Amino acid sequence: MASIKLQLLLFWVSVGFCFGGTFFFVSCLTFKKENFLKYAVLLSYLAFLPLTAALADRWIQTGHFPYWGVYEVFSSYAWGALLFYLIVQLRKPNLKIAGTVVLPAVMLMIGVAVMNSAEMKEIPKTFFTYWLGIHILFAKLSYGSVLISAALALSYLIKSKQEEKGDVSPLMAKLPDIEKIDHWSYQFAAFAFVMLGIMIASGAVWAYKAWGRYWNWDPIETWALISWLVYGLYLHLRITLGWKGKRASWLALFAVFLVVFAFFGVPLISDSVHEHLKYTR
Amino acid sequence: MGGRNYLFLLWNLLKSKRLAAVLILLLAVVATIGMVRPETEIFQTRWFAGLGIVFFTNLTSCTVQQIINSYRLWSKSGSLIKTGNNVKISTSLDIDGGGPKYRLRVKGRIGIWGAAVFHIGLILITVGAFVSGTMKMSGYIRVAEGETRYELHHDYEGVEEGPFFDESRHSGIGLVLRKQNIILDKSGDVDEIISDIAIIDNGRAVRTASLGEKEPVIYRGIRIFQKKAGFAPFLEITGPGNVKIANTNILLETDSSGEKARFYLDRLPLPNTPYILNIRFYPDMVHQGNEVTTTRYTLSNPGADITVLDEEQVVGEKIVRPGESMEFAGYRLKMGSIKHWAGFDIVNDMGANWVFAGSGVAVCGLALIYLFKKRSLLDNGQH
Repeated sequence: MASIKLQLLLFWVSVGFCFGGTFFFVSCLTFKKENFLKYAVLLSYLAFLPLTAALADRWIQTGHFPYWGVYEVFSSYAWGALLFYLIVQLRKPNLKIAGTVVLPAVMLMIGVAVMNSAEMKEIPKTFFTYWLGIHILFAKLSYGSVLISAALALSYLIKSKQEEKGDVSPLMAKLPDIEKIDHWSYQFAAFAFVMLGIMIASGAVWAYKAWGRYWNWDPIETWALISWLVYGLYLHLRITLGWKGKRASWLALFAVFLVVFAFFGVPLISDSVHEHLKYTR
Repeated sequence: MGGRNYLFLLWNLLKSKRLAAVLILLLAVVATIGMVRPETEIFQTRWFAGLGIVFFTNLTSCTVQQIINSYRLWSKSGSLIKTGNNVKISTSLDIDGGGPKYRLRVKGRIGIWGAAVFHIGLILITVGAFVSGTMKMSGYIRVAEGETRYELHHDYEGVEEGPFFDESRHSGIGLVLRKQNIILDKSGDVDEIISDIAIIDNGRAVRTASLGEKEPVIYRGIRIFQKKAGFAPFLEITGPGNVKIANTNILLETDSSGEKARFYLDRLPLPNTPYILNIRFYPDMVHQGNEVTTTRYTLSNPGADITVLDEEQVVGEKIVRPGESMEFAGYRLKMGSIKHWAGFDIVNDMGANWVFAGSGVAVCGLALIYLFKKRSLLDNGQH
């Protein structure tokens, strides 16, 4: 019980930092205060620390990687997305502004996690397989990349609109040119397509080993397939039919909506074999 | 217009990337409709299968064209590559008549094949999905300890066979439940049920295995999963004049959906009589006030609450333990020893390996694309 209290405390501290970071990111864009960006990124790092500590404590408490139940799933996805963002902005400092999308999403995910039951449940034996580990790893990577891709698509739309008006904010002006942003958005979407594909394939192998059927038109797996098809469509339109710029950015934003819905919306409205995503209070 | 021109037009249509984009969009839309309106059972309809066939044809045609294009690029000589700030050229020597001829190799040229390999993987997945959809068999069999059931159509309690799965394709292998072990956790609850099984092929035991929840047993491509377990009390029922009505183990249903598992059988008709039986079984019978219940899965104090009905009229009710009997309307029911039973899902899916092989090939294709990126002097990193 004490352990859960500690985790909740750490999660709330992380939410606090995320809130602060989101405030600075949004202020940075809205009030064109460029120096706010460094505070926003600093707060992102600060949010990562208690989040990591809380998940480590949960891992010790349960004896397994936190993936079972909404409490563990959402908090670990939040961790994965934040880690992905921190790595990306280290490698490509121009992408720091992507935190405007990633940080509120992380805050929201931790918020949903702590609102759900932290009770430890017995995990079916079929879940103890390395295929599940692969499935979860690629799910987290895909989630991080779709968020970044969406953030870049959004940045493209904002910057291109500002350029059309001839009034580009200092922060947007610091971003690379819109062709580059568009290209990065495409690269992250392509990465998401690969990660989603491997996630679906490894999930299929696991399901076949556990139940003898690799595909069951289960709501979550079907929505994941729909998301993958939409990313496939995006890549096809881009590579073979030359879709770029605004049209591609809107499609990338639509695709991220589908991914978020597949992961977190579907368990709200449908029963699924993905028991670990079931919402409980 | 000649036949050749029609063929050319057809080929152009089939390998059209615009058609591919339209088909991907259609598949996504149809899958969405299938999710939003599950009652339409869209994935089982013929036109969904038709859409799959058109998609497969387009995918195959595009891939063939892609292989041709990749080969043309592959065999084309002379390209320069840019690696960092230096231009680096590696050569391979071709002897061509009069003297040496240099071919400038592009570093990462193997990446040219990536998209084609990825699409070959998708073709294999589609073929596998088609084979699974049409030739897969899955069924459910229950076996009591010491009994044998065969992997034959009529031995299944429930079986689903694809439209191209011929009944003669059943393997006929026998499945024997030799013993069942109940593993309890620290609090005395069931942690896992392990069934010791033997597989009989051509009249002899060819394989023995301990089957738990986690892993199936695979024999001749057939996967055997333990799905459920329960109890099978032996009932001997004799009628007037000592005529035997029944003399068998009755496999009770197990309902694990509530907090406590229930073991029961409702409305079991007694052959050649107007009577039906309702059985409530308790492996570890405990009386809590007026209520009879069970707290553990182990057979420490087994007993069954048996009700006999004639139409809806109760003509007999008694709690019977092993070795005890009850009488009703001139009949006698005696309970013997209690056995365990295990329920097995048996799956024969020839398409699965194609799907997984296809997934592997697709991943290899992606690896070729991303690990061996083609770069040229004109490449500014935004190809």
